[in-house]
Amino acid sequence: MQQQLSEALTIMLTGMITVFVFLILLLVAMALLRRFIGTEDRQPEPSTRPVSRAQNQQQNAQRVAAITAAVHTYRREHE
Amino acid sequence: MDRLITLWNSTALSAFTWGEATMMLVGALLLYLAIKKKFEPLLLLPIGFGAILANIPMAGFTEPGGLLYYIYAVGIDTGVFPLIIFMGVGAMTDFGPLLANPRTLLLGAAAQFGIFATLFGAIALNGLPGFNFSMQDAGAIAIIGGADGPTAIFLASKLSPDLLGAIAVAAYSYMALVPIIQPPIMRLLTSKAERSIKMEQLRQVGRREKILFPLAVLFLTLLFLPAATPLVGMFCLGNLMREAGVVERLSKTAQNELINIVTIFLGLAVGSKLSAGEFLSLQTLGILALGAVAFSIGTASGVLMAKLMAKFSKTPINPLIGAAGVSAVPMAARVVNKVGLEANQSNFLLMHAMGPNVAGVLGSAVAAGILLALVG
Repeated sequence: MQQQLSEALTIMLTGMITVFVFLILLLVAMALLRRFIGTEDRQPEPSTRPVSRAQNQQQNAQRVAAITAAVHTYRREHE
Repeated sequence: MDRLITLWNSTALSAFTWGEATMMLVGALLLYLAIKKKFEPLLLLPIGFGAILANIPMAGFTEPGGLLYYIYAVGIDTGVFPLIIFMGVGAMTDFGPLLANPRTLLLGAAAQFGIFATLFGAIALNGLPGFNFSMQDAGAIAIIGGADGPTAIFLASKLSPDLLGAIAVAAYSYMALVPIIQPPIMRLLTSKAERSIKMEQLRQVGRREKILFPLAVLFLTLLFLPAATPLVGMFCLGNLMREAGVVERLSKTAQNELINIVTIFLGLAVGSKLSAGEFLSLQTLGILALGAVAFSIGTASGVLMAKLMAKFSKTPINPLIGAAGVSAVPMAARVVNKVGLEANQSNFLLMHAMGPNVAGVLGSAVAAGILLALVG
């Protein structure tokens, strides 16, 4: 029992130290990673050009006209 | 008359034992918790149903030739199911908040103290009559403190398959109970002023950094901790598929269809381990108690570590985010956000807590590797 407890204590300490050492290594790796490539590819998000309302409505009207024309042609051909 | 007796003997009623009936009730309780209380329903529902199936007398689900026997042998005995799930979790994980604030890795490390303290606790419990945990058992029980289902199942299947049912049920139940277990501990260890600290906004993380990160993690793991490579490797594969941006189909499958299919079978197979002989014992009560202790210690050590870091940091750190170091993604981070909002209505900590949260996933996978290497 005593022996088991001291073994568990050793595992606890080595385990905790290993977790910390490993994650600190990862921290270092991340810092290196950032230094080499981190800032290069930071490009601004492509902003969508604001579409004015008038333009929008005009586009809509064109679309409706195109659809109406298509429907007419279809009906004429299939009568 | 003989015919009648034969018929009677072929019904379940004649063959029921008390143990089986009790285990069916346990299965029904898990179904209740899943459906009514919404406790981790994705897992507890198949586990509960699996427990019912496994305890049907004479149906032989868990004997060679039975369905659950094969599912268990194929998926859990080999460790394949938890690893596939881990790949899906990797594909769902965004390391952005962690990369933006790498220091939070230390919080994910500190919270793993819950695991190792519980290992000690399990061995100490052997001092009481009725408990006899081996070092392997203790390691498998301790991983409940990692608050990560697949890791717990993977490690338990390797170290202590007999306790797997109880360990998986404890792990998933406590993960569901995170919103109840954590807040009192967090409030106890922090003052209101500390809880209302606002943190600086996180920086944008570039795509290349996100792609190289899983590769860096894998590289370090294979160098220093090869025992953790099954878990970490699958996790990194999933994450790379997500971040690479060229295999969107694979990434989608890993985080949706594949993980769902495997979850069904994983749940059933874990449920099949809930048999009376293995579950109805004092040890199970011990495991449930130790699991709660593991969660609490993990939460506390995360918060204390965050307080320590805040002392030395130039930028403000809210100690609450340390509690998210116990993985349980994303529940623990949400709890941090909620407790933070209670103290300061305009303080949103969710993204800050996601850093330690995903660090906790890495931390518990690393801890599992260490336990495998030390006691496996």
